[in-house]
Amino acid sequence: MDKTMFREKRARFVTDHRMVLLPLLLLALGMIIANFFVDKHTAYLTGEQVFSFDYFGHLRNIVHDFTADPSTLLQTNDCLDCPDFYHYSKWYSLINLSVFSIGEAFRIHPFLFYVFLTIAVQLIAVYISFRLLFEEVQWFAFLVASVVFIILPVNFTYLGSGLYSFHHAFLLLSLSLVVRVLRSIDESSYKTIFRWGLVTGLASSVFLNVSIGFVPIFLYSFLGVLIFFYRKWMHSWKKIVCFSTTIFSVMAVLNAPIVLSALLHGNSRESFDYGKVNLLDSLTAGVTMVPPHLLSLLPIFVLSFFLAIIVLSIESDLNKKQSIIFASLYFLWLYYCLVISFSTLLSDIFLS
Amino acid sequence: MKSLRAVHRLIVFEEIVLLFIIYTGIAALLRSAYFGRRCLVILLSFILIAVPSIFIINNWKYLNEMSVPDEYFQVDAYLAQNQDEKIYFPAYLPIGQGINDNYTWSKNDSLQPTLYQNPFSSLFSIPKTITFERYPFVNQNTMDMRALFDYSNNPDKILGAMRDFGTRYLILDRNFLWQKNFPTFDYSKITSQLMLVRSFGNIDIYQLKEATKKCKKAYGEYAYGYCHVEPGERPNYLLNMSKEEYLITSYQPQKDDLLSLLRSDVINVYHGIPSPLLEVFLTEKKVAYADVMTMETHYSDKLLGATEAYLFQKEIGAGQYQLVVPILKVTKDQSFFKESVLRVFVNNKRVTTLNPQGEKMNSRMK
Repeated sequence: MDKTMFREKRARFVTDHRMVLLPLLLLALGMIIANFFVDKHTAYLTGEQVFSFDYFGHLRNIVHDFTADPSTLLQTNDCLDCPDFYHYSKWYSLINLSVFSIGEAFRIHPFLFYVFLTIAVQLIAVYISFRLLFEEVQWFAFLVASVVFIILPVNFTYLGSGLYSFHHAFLLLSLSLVVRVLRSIDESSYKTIFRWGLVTGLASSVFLNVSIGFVPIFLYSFLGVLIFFYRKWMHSWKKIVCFSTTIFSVMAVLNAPIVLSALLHGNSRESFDYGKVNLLDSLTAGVTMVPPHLLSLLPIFVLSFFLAIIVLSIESDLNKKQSIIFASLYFLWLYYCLVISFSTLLSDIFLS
Repeated sequence: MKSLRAVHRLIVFEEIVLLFIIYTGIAALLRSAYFGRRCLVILLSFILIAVPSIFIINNWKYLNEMSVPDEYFQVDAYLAQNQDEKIYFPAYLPIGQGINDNYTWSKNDSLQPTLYQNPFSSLFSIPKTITFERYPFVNQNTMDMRALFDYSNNPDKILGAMRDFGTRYLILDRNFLWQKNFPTFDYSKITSQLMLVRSFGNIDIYQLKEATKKCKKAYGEYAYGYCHVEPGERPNYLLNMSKEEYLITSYQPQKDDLLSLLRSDVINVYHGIPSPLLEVFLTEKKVAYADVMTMETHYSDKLLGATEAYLFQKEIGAGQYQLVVPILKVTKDQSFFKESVLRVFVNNKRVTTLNPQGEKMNSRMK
């Protein structure tokens, strides 16, 4: 009886989610077939991409270091004598390289597994987000939108700059989860809110662990969604406290080295001399320290936020007075960022 | 140049917006029964997917595709369990250089270079390998070793340094383009004095004998014949370093002591309460202290302003106090803090002046 029920459930699951399971299956098949033909000695390297033929060796070394000196667990960028391959910390590498070692365990070529993982994670994230946000998901529209989202040129060039595809996938997932919870926060129990908080915190931690630069992006997005659903949670503010606390607690625990570094040194990357990020820079998403060659991006950045503010002011539950206060705060922040940004630029020019 | 790529990361918002626009747009058009609209969906979808695909195909050279010789896999397997100190030659590459165009097997036709310099700490993972990849170095030991292993040095000096640091194995990579990167360095002058253990293709593994001559235990700058003390060990000699300076840099916080001294070009002076635990510790010990006041050397205005400022000013009751002002050692000669002094006033009367950076000495430590 149990077996029959299990089979029925499995069949229903496959039927319900076939629009994402089928592409994933094809993708996995493609990866397995390509694995027979790819030269096992071929490396595909670019920029910061963590390509390795021996992820298990790296994991073994990290665990050995942790055992020999447990304090290295909480070290951020001053993880002394770390190879560059370990980026921000050994903790970061442990999580990051563990993911890639799955491919090694199945004897899949590292690059093929990396491509598979990149596509699969984004595809799943888009699917879950659509399921959370829309009543019904149209399969053709889902496939086209997902493919474009995955193969956007900027994502291809990011192949060499770490794991941006994962950041994007998990940011989308986290925000969709937040929206989903806020929509029905009145009817949800504390237990449900707590569970959703755990899941959201977990999704948010994945990209945070990979890159501290996503902290302000997540914070702003989270605040934006909160403002949008202002009236929904206004009468359930205790629930929103429970939800936020759960999310940020999970994030803090899973990113302990970064949090500790920020608390002790006011800096998410202790001793990272040439790219020093303090709390102000972190919370202003780096706008305070935009180097000249990136200044051309500033209008795009400002415009994006400006549009977000307009949409939030018009479409959210805020009344006119609240919208004005909100917009004023934004302009004050913008002014502050611009002043800091240009003064930094000028001081750099004059000092050099 | 200080920079953060967070601005790039904000593109994610545009991407998410684009995703929803494409999805809702196509879904809305598909709801229509008109044949023309459905054709439009097909056309739009084709264009949306084709444009980025063409970009990727045209820019495939963005990736460095290279075939790594089998000998690297063999060395990786051979040394996987070896926990002795090892050094890979080249121990470092000129700044900005990566694997992509410095080996006989790596090509130089990519649009973007690789960041990593050492195949055995990236493509492979050999335990206990000395690396000099991270720049700038934040560890005195690494800085010192890097200075000694510089290929412009006499090979004998490099060999001596390896012995001093207890290096047991040298992995020499002859696939590396030595002539291109270090034309004056002759590695054979080193390897001729070592014992060849194993060769895998163009990679040789040499073993060093354990140091027979005891070096003089020292701390500070380098001088041949002197070797650095282990953490916690007291040196017999200080090389171009004052005793005060040594005490500052070698200070190891106790278990219940959270004051940390970090080697950096940023000066941290504590005033305020950085942590409740520290507050308890300082209160119990009647220690007056000053929060984290970070003064970066990049900003001369902040720096100059701070030199005349009181770092700590607080009325305290009668009693015996110990003033703890952790000041980081400054490593750059041109730093403003080289000649810094700390003056302690009580009732506007100077009681003492401390100059931790002064009085260099190169003699036996008292």
